[in-house]
Order: sequence, then structure tokens, then C-alpha cells
Amino acid sequence: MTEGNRPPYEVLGWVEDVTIKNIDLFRHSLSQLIESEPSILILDLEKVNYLNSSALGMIAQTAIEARKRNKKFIICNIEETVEEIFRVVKFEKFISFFKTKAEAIDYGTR
Amino acid sequence: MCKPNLIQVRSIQTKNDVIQSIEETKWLAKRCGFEDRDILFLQLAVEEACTNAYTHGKTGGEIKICWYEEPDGIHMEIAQEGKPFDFQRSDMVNVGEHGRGLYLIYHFMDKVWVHEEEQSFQFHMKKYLMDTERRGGL
Repeated sequence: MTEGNRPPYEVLGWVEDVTIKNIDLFRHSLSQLIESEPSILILDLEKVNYLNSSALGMIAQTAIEARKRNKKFIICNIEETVEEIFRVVKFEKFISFFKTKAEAIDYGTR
Repeated sequence: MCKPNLIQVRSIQTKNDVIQSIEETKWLAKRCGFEDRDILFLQLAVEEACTNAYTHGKTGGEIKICWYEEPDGIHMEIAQEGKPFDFQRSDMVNVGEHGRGLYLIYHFMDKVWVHEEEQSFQFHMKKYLMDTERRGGL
């Protein structure tokens, strides 16, 4: 834990599919995540089955921006369909994924 | 078994029309007998194709989506005025913000093709009911 008992990580828990309907809120939430103080940023996608290409673009940009700021950007709790979408766009080449939030935190704080 | 026929047409004029098209795809694909996983990827393909048309189409030009039930699957056509978007495919890792929509469509649909006319073009996508043996039909 960091000073004031704040964890060294920030988690964005997103619990619905990302479509043209809610893409603006997703963008705003990712912006808040990248601007947050901790150096470990976790995107928790539990219950998300579907992400459109705009969401994928925003995730890619967040990963690149985190790297520029020397932060770790990690995704966890990926459903099978999202995993397939991520595989198609080759996200595993530049983003770290974990099955559970605990594993993501463990990797981030190592 | 589905008969080959036009089952639905929707005009795309607003963002809400794209949202409605995604929902209609879900309902029509279910009616055709697709499994949940394939329905989800059909919805994704429709969202990407409609968003592309909506974003890159001629300003004020008409865009419409048609769904056809066919004996072996579902066929969707997005017709619009203007010029087609870029259909280049690349195996490079894309770390940028844009350029994944068509890549996803090509991957999740079994057939993708374009019909161009002088002032308009139609973007076609087809998904077979049992796609495992037919994948890579482009």
C-alpha cells in the first residue's frame, strides 16, 4: 500500500458491452484511468462480451499512453468472446492480460 | 430451414439507427438459428459496417441495411451513396486508434464483397450457419 493506505493500483471495472451506444462514456472512463495517480492501471472487463473497434482503439491508445508515462496497463477478467476479439487484433503483442483481478494486481505490483 | 428472402430493411440516418440495427441483427440471427457466439460477432460486423458507412458516406446520402435469410445462413447488405472505404488488409500489429473495423469484419464473416456502381456501392457480408468448414471463403 502507498501512503494514506491508497493501493498502488487503480481499477476501472466495466460491466457492460461497449458499442456505439456507450462508447463516449468508455472513452471518458479510460481517460480518467490514465490520468489517475497510481502507476498500475487495471481494466477489469468482467461481464463484457463485446467491444467494438472504437473501444479497441481506445484500449490500444491507453496502453501506449501508459507506457509513455512509465505505468503498467493490465486487462483482467476477459470473457471468451472478448479474448477472441483481442486475439484477432493481436492485442497480446503489446498488452498484458490476466484471468483474475488478483493475478493482475500480483503482476502489477511485482 | 430459412428460405432466401429479404426479411428486413432499415435506413441509417442517425447513431440510434446503428444501435437499432445491432439489435435487429441479434433478433434476426436468432430466428435463423445462429448460436449466441456467432450472433455476437454478426452484431459486431453490422455495427462496424454501419458505422463505417455512417462515418465515411456521402454527407446527406442515403444509407440502408438489408438483411436476407438464406437456406445456409444470413446475408447483410449495406448500401450507400459515395465512394467505398479502403479495403486494404494488413497483418501488421495495429497500435493506433483506428483501422480495426474491417479487419474484424473480414475475420468474423465467411464472405465479404463489394458491388460498386457509379454513385453508390453496396457492402455485402455473409455468415453461414455452420461456418467451421467454410471459413476463409473470401
